[in-house]
Amino acid sequence: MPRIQTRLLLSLLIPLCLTLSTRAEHVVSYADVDIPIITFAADQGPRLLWLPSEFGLSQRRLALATELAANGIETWIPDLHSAWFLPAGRYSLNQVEPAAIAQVITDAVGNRERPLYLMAEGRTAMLALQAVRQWQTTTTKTQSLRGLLAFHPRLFVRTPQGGEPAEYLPTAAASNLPIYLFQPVDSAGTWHIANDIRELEKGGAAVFLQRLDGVSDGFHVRLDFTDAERDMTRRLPAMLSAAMQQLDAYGGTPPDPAPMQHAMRPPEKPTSARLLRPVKTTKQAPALKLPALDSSAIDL
Amino acid sequence: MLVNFWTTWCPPCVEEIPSLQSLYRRLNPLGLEILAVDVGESEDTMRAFLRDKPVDFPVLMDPDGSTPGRWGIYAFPTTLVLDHQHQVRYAVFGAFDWASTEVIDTLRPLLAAAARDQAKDLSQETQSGSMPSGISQLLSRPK
Repeated sequence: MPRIQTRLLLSLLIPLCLTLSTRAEHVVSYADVDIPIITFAADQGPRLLWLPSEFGLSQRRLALATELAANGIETWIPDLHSAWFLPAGRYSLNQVEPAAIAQVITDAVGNRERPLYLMAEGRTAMLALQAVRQWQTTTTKTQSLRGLLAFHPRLFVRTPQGGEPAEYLPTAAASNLPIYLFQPVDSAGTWHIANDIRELEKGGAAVFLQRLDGVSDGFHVRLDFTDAERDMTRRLPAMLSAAMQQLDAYGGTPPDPAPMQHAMRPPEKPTSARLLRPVKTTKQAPALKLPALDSSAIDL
Repeated sequence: MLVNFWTTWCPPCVEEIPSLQSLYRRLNPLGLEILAVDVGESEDTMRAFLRDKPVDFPVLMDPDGSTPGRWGIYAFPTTLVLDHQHQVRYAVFGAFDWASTEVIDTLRPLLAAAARDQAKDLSQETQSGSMPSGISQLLSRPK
């Protein structure tokens, strides 16, 4: 069959397969908002509440959710963009109140028939932490929420301008649930993940880290992906199961939140500019002594 | 001088390369240097990348990722603009249009200040009989 016809056929079949999977939908209401929850059912086993990224729901995310359910991980994905009529894009979830996600967590805990795990990526990891904190303050005491699985978390108030120290959002240092981090190696996050972990541990969180070689941020949900990223995505059901077992050893999320000095807030949206922005404090550049590709040596 | 931290797997880094190249060609004759620091990758990866997208400015290799922590780099690409005394004057993260008129107009005074100071140094060194120094001597190429 010619390649173009094969692709056409696949493009028709993949959505059909997704439709035919054990996919269902229900609604969680918070204030005056109805949040659609897409569920991929599994007969037994853990339940995974997977928050979408700022870029919304992609076919690969839904396909992975189907795969997770087939591997015994019931997966729930709240469609936050539809609920709040948000356009997909960076910082699009800033408008979502953590209390709304806390309501979804309460719904997913249900009657505690299954252990629940929360999962998020990038900046949504902070929304997840804030929601857990909100949930801890409002829920009846239960440790059904076993922990957070987070891919390449972004926990900063804003992306630091080069040379500035990073400022973390207050909830990062005031979280006490077990956390399992997946950090792609091909990511700027690789170089500060140790600092992220130190910040998360300040509130009492037990933090595990798994580095993922050969992939970059969003490898499991992006529509453009490499062969290595496709292969890593295929391994995710088994990797997530193993991570859940690790989190289980810590007995679930404590009933009370860790103390917090400042109020919760969303990350700051940067102002886009065509102009160079002066640094706030002029300072001497650090040393730079590296080999160049042409075998010369640079010593700044 | 621009110090640009980047990687080949980072799409915005790759996106801004043509504008960096354009800026370099335009302002290098006036003294602008660009140092592109590749973080966490091998020379083979970089050579393969540059075969398709060659650049005129030096590419430095930091395979162990020793620079982001010391330089305060939290996103790729991040570019710092240093004056001739190596003071950090501007910082940008994310893909940026380096060839825009606004950017060039911002960099010109820095280059002019560097040229003035270099001329002053040259005059003093000539009077004292020593060799002139300059930014281009940062590049200590092997013979």
